[in-house]
Amino acid sequence: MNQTMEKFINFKQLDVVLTGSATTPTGVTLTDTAATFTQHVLPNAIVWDRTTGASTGGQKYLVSVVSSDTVLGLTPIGPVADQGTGVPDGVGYFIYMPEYTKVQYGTTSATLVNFLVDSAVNFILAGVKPGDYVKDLTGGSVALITSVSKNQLGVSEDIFVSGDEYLIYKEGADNFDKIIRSANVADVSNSAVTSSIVNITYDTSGTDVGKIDYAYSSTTGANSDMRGAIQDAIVSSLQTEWTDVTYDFPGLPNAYNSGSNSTWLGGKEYFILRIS
Amino acid sequence: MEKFLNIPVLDADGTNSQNQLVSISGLTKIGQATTTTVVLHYLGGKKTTLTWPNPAASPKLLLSVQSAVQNALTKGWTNVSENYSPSGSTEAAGVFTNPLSAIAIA
Repeated sequence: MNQTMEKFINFKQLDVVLTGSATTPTGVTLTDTAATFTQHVLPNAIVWDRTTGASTGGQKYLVSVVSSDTVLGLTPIGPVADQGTGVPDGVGYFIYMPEYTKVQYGTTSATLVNFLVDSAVNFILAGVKPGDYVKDLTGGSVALITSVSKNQLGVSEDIFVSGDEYLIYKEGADNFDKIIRSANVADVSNSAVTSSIVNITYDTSGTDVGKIDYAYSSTTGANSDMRGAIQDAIVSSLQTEWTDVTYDFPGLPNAYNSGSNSTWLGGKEYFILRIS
Repeated sequence: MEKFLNIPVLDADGTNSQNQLVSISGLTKIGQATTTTVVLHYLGGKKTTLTWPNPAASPKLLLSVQSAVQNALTKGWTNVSENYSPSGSTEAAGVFTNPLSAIAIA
């Protein structure tokens, strides 16, 4: 009889909100002449080029400014030696939203004082809630949503006229639950070449490996905090009753440092990008 | 503990659905590889690929399977098989519309 206990750690993994292939960048940017970034992306999104420097976990960036539909201004993150200088031409990219979650994009159909009107969208079915934000992509201003009805939103600022493009978003990361086995673990180790990957090995030959990629943002490498946190989570998960099949990863602070970890990510919790 | 999901899938002739058991013992992780496939990874490297007839953006199919696995594993050891109705399928009088189109083990 197989007595193996089935236990898993449940991570909040960021969802890929947009993917595509870059065209030639100007400066430290992601440029894609086929993209519509303004409809999907907000500042502090994470851009991951998995191709360039793939052996060290690829190159990651934070979006500093959404310059246009086709250009994102970027700030490189991670150890200095691994940082990129813009997503190269022809390279695939993956974008994640750690601060906000997109709810709806559209174009207003009428002008009404202190309201956003769009007869083509049912805002209730779209899940829009009071307290969400709406950005006027045409004028550039942001307002708070104060009321929701089928085709109209009450807004805190009178910024919309007919024909304006808008993007509605809410506080909080765009993520989902992703489980990975915490029983039968043989080893938990940082990748030998990057601080942004932790490997969970299940067999003694070292071939059966689960890989956790996360947004390591410090310019200083050789950090094993995530390995320690995952090890702690494995132990904790195995100490729970057998009916508690999944154990929620409690998160790990990504400590702010004015010299080496001063982007928006410093001071938040680490964000999980991929479990594979 | 041996546990399975009991999943409706098209017959080899592609016309009727039958139920197939898929093991959920020894899983290491589950992933949605494409808009129509979810892959269950097991200790030792074996994989089972579930294929849906209609696409759904990630992670919808993954979350559907993951939730079913979690529910099944929290039940007592005598509940060996857990019925799983694939996301997007409907059942009437035991007949499934839009069952999985394939289950492949490699």
